[in-house]
Amino acid sequence: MTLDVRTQQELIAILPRLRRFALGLTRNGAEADDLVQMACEKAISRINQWKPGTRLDSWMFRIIQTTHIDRMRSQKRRDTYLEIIGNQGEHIFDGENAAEASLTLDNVRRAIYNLPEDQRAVVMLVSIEGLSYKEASEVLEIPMGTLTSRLVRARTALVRIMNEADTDSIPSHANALSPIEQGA
Amino acid sequence: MMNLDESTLIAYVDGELDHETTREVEAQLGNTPEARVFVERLREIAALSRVAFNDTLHEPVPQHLRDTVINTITLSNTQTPLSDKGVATFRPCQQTHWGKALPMAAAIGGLLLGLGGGFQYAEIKTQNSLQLVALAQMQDQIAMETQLNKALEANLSGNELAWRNPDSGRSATFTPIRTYQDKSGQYCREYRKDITTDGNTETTFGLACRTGEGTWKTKYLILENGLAESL
Repeated sequence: MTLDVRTQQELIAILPRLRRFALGLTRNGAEADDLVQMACEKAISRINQWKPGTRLDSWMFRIIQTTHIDRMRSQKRRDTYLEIIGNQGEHIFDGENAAEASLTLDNVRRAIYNLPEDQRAVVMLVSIEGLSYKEASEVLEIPMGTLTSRLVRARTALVRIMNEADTDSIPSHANALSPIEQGA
Repeated sequence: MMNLDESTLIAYVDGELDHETTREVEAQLGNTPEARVFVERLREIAALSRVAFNDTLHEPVPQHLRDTVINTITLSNTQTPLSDKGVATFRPCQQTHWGKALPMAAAIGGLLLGLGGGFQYAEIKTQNSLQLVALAQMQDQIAMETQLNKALEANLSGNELAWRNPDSGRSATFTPIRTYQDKSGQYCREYRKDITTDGNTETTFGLACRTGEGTWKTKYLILENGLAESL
């Protein structure tokens, strides 16, 4: 199987986004990288199924999603997940204001992590990856109606959870919130 | 009269409604305060969600992942579309940039803007590095800040403001993406900034809020150097 240089470069270029999507699904950095690795291997082995000119990122998202579901089925990892969620959010930002901001961000992240699996995938694709409803429904191979109903449930849940968290809407001094390099 | 149910409002926030329905929703939002609050909350959470998941984008990709892509592949340079065309016609820089920009635009998808690519930015770092760079570059920075402020103050969402310095060759566009009010009534806007220097375009997404009379202060800023760099 050959992969031309441009496709290879594009794949490398979208790796950060693939890792982000995988993180949303697995809720754990190491799991996410495993997942991306498996998905890349799969993708490369069947690169002839990808039509040049179509979106490589959407195709990769689909492979990640299906690989994730396979993994979920084969490995019962619920306990691991629960433990992981508890450890999320230990991000180090300097300054009080940044701490305040990161608290809000942690709340959002936690709220997303606590969504059911299928809703979380939809939120990751639509809200975070910025896919259109149509693109997201193609990635997840679900009808538009299913997609929108999952999205509505997820978004209303997030609004409810965030309202309950009673955090400041937008931190007022968040410019210290630089994406600081985090220890690996 | 349409019904402002949750799913309509969510589709509205996601830019999934057609033009006419969007206008209708906006008209009704004017006299439906609860719906307005819901819409603002949705936008705010969507913006925060994007920022919350940005860490992954600016972390370096583990080498073993890159190796997976690099090593298992049999390269075939001769099959790339560019080479197919044989001895190429001259491609002006601008065209090349569009070639770079388009997949990214596609990745972003419609009205919704994701924060694609690898990111790295710190406002503070910029402040420090300003002391080191040439005066010309500093002037560009200041000029661009002014232009960004102008775009945020005056441009409708989706309308870009273009800027160019013929001396340095640097050019930029500033595009407000969405506007909303936070709980305290302060106006905030998400925006996109594309800066082209020496043929390289850097795309930045930011969230700025209006702090004073005509003054916008950026609260989140994320620099993209992913796709554009490699394609």
